[in-house]
Amino acid sequence: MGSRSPSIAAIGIIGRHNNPLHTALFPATGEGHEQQRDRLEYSFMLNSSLDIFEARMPSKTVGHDFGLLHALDERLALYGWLTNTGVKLVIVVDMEGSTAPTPEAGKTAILGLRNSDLAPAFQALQTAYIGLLRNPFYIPDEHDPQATKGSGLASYHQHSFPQRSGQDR
Amino acid sequence: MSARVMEASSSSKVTVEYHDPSGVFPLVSRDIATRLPLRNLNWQSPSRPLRQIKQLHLDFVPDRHTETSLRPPTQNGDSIGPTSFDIVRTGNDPRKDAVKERRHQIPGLKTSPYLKLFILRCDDKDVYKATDRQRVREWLRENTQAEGKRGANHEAFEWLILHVVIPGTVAASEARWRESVKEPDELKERKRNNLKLPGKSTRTVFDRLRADFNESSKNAQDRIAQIRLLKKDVPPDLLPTPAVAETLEETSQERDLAWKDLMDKLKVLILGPFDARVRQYEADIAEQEARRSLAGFNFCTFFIHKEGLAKALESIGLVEDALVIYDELSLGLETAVRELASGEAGRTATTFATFTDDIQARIQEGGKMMVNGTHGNLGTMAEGNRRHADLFSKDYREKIVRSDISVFDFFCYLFSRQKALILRLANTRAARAELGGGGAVKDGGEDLVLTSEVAWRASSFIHNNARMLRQDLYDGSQLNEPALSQTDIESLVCAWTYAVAEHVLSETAAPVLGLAQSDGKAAGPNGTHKLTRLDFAFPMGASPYPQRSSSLMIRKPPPAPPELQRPASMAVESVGSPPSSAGTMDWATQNAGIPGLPELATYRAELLMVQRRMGELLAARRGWRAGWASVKHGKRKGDRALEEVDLDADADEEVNSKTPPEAEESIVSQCLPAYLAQDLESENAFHSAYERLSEQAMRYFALATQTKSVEAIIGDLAVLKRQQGDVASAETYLQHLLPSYEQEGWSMMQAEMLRFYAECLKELDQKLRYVETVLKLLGKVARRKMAQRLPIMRLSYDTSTNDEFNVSGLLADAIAVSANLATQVTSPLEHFFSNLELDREVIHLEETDGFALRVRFTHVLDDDSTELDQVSLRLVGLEDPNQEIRLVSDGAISLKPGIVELRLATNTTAFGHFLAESVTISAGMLSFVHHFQPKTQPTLKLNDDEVFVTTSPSEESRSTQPVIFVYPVEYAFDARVTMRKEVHIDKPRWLEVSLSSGWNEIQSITLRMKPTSAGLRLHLADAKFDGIEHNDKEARKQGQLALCEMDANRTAIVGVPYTVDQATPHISIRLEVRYETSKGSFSFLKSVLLRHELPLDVDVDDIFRADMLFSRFTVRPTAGLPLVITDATLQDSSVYGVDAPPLGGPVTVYANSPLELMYKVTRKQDLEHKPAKRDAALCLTLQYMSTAEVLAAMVQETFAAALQGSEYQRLSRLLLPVVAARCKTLIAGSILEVAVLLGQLKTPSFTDFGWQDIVAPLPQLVRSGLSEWLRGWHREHTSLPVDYDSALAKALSRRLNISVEIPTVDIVFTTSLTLRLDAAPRTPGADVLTLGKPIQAELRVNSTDAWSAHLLIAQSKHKTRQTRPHFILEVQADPEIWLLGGPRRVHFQAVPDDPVIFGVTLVPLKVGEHHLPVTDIQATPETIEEGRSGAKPRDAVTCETHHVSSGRTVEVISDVRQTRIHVEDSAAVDSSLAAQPVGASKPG
Repeated sequence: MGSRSPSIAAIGIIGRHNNPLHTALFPATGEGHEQQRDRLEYSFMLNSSLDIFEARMPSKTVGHDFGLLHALDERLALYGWLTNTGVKLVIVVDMEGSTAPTPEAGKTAILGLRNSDLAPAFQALQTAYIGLLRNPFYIPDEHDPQATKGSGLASYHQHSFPQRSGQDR
Repeated sequence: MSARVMEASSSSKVTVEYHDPSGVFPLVSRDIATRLPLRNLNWQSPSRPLRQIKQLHLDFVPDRHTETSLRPPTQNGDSIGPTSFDIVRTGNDPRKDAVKERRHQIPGLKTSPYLKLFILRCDDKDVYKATDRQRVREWLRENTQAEGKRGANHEAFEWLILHVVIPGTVAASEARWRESVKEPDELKERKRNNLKLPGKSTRTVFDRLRADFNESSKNAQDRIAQIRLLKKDVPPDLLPTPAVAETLEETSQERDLAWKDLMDKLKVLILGPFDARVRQYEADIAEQEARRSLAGFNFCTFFIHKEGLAKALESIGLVEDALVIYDELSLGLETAVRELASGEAGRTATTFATFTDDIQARIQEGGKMMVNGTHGNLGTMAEGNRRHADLFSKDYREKIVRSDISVFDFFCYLFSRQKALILRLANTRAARAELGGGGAVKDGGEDLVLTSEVAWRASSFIHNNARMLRQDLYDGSQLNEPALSQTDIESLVCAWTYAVAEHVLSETAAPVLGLAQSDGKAAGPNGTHKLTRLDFAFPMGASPYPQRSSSLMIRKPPPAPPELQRPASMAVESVGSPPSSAGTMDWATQNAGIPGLPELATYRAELLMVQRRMGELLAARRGWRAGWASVKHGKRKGDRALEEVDLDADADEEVNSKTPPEAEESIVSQCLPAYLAQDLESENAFHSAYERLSEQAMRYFALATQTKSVEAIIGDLAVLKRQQGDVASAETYLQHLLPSYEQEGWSMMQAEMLRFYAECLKELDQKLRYVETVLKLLGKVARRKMAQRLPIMRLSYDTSTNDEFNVSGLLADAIAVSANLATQVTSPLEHFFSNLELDREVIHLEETDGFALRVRFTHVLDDDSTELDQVSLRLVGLEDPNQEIRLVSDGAISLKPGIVELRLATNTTAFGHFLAESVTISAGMLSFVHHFQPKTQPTLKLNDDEVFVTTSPSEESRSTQPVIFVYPVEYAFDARVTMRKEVHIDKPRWLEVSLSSGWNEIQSITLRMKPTSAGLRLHLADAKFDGIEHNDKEARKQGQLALCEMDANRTAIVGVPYTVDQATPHISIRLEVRYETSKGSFSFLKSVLLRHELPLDVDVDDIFRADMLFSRFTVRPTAGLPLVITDATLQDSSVYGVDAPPLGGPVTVYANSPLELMYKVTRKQDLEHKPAKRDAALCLTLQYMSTAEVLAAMVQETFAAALQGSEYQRLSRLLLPVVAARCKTLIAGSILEVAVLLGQLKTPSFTDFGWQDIVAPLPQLVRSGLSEWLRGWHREHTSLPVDYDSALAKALSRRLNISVEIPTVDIVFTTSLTLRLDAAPRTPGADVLTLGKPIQAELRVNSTDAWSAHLLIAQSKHKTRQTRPHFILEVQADPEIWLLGGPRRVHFQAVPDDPVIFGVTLVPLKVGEHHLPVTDIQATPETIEEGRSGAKPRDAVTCETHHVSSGRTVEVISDVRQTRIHVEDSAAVDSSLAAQPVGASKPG
């Protein structure tokens, strides 16, 4: 059993009306760990995380960072971020997602992530999303099931995305 | 529960050690117990804010001496007061003390007493003096010396002497209190010294004690207290015998005061050493902190010091402060571990054990205590609690002190401490039980916010430490024998996680959650419970569970801080949260508003989910799955079965599933504790465990109104139900889930759900719903695929290939199932097939009429082979929406993924623009319909004339609704409707339908004509046939004509008379011809608009004479179209003869230069019989040509001739009608007039013809050539000469028959005025009259009834004349010219052929040439006699007058032949000599 270190397992971008905009899955790397992530499972995960957003929303006054939303098991944990337009960014972290670069890193990984570890990742995501919104060919309402009565495309594909941003620095 | 656990938990109390040489403590212990815990202590420390300790629990322990020497009395006391808890507690003490003593070198480890209590029984002063004083002194010395020896304040304590007064002794008779001087009610303590009571020693034992042991300084504390026992409380063997007679009875007030005094002293004396200790610890900590960066720093040592402070705080009741310290410690631990791991801690002396040696045993041991399989249920919660508490039952601190604790254990210890503290804060059942008061206090007062905090912390603790445990076990297995396999490690981690979750769940089980549980209990023991509809009703508010509202959330900050990884800040936040109000709330009624309940429910549910997940993980090793995972797995397996090419590359299977299951199973079960092993005994057991956990979690989520989580679990349960074979309930579950996923566009989940739902429905044999669901699913998938075809940049390693949702075979399946449905299921085509395209190019069929169109669409689904029954296209006429053509594909179509191209054919022949209306794909009972935007129909503005739409519909509608120009093949059947060339104005007009069979050997024809303009009646019954037989055998149907066979290349004409109800310029007809040939049944559609209005107007003007009649006809074209009249004749009838001048050749008639024709009509004299009126009429026949028609025909002919020789002859049926239509519109107005005047037509240009639009939809091959050819034709034929004599023009010549009725007049008068002149005029015809000279004239009125109807026409109304009509003759003379003598108006009776003569005198009044007066004769107007006003007036008598002399003029001159000259006498008169004409009026 080699040392493992955390990596991002999935990124979910969920629209204002709790509609999924984009889901990206990042399979674990390293020998013997390359199992695909099941999109359905992650969909359920992201969907359930909305409950937590909702529950915490009323008391949340300042800041975007929702921190840890929910830890599923010892490997997977969901972290949330809310933009001021109501778009929710969720990062699923796999604590054993990649091979640790150094044994030391593997040991620290066991202790878990500090919350601040993910802030840069969220900021990168938000920047990417802002970049998308500034794209004149992207019309946000087209991706809103309430605006398009459900006939719209259910998701968009992000134009550029920092690869594995914020992964264990 | 082992002693160690108790030691850990009892740190929440303050230890008071008592020395009880006389064994009286049991006597007071009960009273003390009732006054405990101490309340409202205020602790002020210089470094901290003022703290109020609300409750302080005391733990009384005997010291060694008391314990050993006085056991019998203690036992005795025990029997007296069995409720005294401290006695019960003491039972375990020896062991504890032993442990304590060993650890003396580390401060903070043991709970040394804050207060040492000397319980003194001293019955009188003498005894005191003799022995007791000495004993107390010795005890004091012993204890205080010990303190001094240590020299540190770690064990700081105070001492108190409690003087217990036994009733009946001397001491009991010594008064302690006296009444206050000022206020009688207030008791004052007697003064200590120099107080003298009569008859008694002034100093009581109590006074002496004070004097001896209290320090004399002013600030010294009073360390002496006295309690007097009541007689009834004291066992008789302790009472002195004999009792002192005058025992002083204490009042209750005095008693209370005494007790209060004691308690106050306890408070003060406990706080004192506590303060000292805290300072000491703080100093220690500060010292350690300072050394942190130095070499040799050991975190464990630091921890012990700091924990000492925490424990001190905890013991004194400042739990929050203790928690803060623990949180700081856990952060510190994390930092230390981090530093150690990253190698930065090289210089510190912190060491940890590399692995936990006993964890495996502890995990496995947990299960041994389990008795039954019903663990985890509510009833056995407590048992579970005890069972899993073992996980934390270890002497961690010892290991910490030794600095060889494993990191895992360290975290466990910290968690268990934190958990205990929060639970104490939350006042949970578990914590209360520990503090002793538990049983008595009811369930109120539990702070759920804090309880939920525990659950929240637990979940993060579990996850973090599970990782650590795995590493730990792994490290351990490297060193230990026998080594644990990977599987074992995983199992152990799962088991540990499961157990901790279970443990926390049981500890956080608040009674209020029972609401959620109660349903669960009703579910039945073995999980056979079915969810009813009510279970799904929670989001709608029908739930019995409390709903969380947002207002509640605002009031209550969430206990769960957002940051897990900074425990210190989190702790501060949670501690700082407002104290719970739950205690004061009547929670039963205000259930809904319990703060923290939603959070608690959520976190508990999450813990349950963790448990479920562990179960799943373990089960997955055996290949058992439940919930969605099983669906996924099944699918994957299925996929692999299909493509078992590369098993090696199949890395996404779990590693373990590759090993044979039998071997693995045994290993797994060895390592699992029994409670988990039981769940995993069989697949069914696993399923029921899964269901139990899921349902429980679902209820909690529902309680917290976390609908999405609930839905996810319901989905899992649905899958499980199906796995268990209960498809019906699975279906019910899903049915409720689907709408919510559909709404928000979670398409992936929805798709999976739908598929699963469809499978359920199929199993349930619900065909219609199955089909609908599958369609919904397919539509979803198809739409997604369509969207994906858009070119989109992707992430470099985007895993969107995972999106591919395999639906192959579903469509075919749905079609097959739908075949049994009763009703058609219609769905929009565009949801399933994309890129529907319709070719606008018409393809003609070979050798038959009709045409075909090509349609293409993309089948996006991955179906291998789907059979479609039919694809059909509906075309609708652009001008006439009732024209409809349906094109169908021939036969079944096998659908392959990708582009499908089909040819849709029809047997219908038509011409014109058609709009594609809809495409329908039908298969089974399914039909997919696409409507090409049916809403906005282009509006057509028709000119006055018949118009072909050259202006195509607007751009936008064209883009959506394809316009197809349909035209027939050259040899196709054709039908044309024209007006018959000869029109008789009095008879019904005729339409001529000319049918040409083309290449068809027609067996029978059905001709349907439907008038489409208002008021048009077609008299099909009177139709005439030329060249074709009417099929009489066929039953006659309304609006239809059945015709017989017709050979190829034949033409036939069917004439149909028609009438119109009102004058309309146009009539329109829809023609539908169906004809049968050997090749099948065909149809031909056409709508026709014909001009009904005649192109010319004829006016008649009649002038009567006695024996003849002049008729003047004015012919002028209507609508401004010039006409060429080639012939005009008026035929005489049986009554009248006509004399006509010849018409010299064709005459062109323009609108403003009409043609006038004059005819003389005479009566035929020799009438043997009177003819009918109809026959009497004359008939005007006009032969004419419409120049517009001629010119159009010319153009067409020229064009056709040119076409004949070209290669485009086969397009003649397209081009010629277009030419005809264009000519009609283009050759009109001024162009036409100019052409007619010049005799030469300037042909409209290529652009004017709008050829581009016509050419555009043709195939590319033809298009450019044809376009070129057309341009060439237009170039060559810029102008055409007009020739009205050509055969073509002759053929277009039309004839109009107008019957001209000659009006009948009853009487025709001929009047003549004859002057009786004196002399015959010198020149004939020029009568000369003299001015002012009267002249006689003779007015002769001749009358004839020759033109009257009764003479001429049979059956006339005026057969005979009953009366002779009276007439009035009036001479009309200009009074300025003529002076009329005689009557002006004369009544007379006209008698035919009997002239009447009147004499008239005329005096001309003016010189000049004048007309003679004319006469006017009119019938006498009806004289309405009085009283007969209602009588029917006689028919008016008509009369015409021919005034013969009307044109005659006379010359009036003055008679100047004689002139008389008169000369006056005076000369003056001469000058006025004037010649006066003779005959002029003479003066005088």
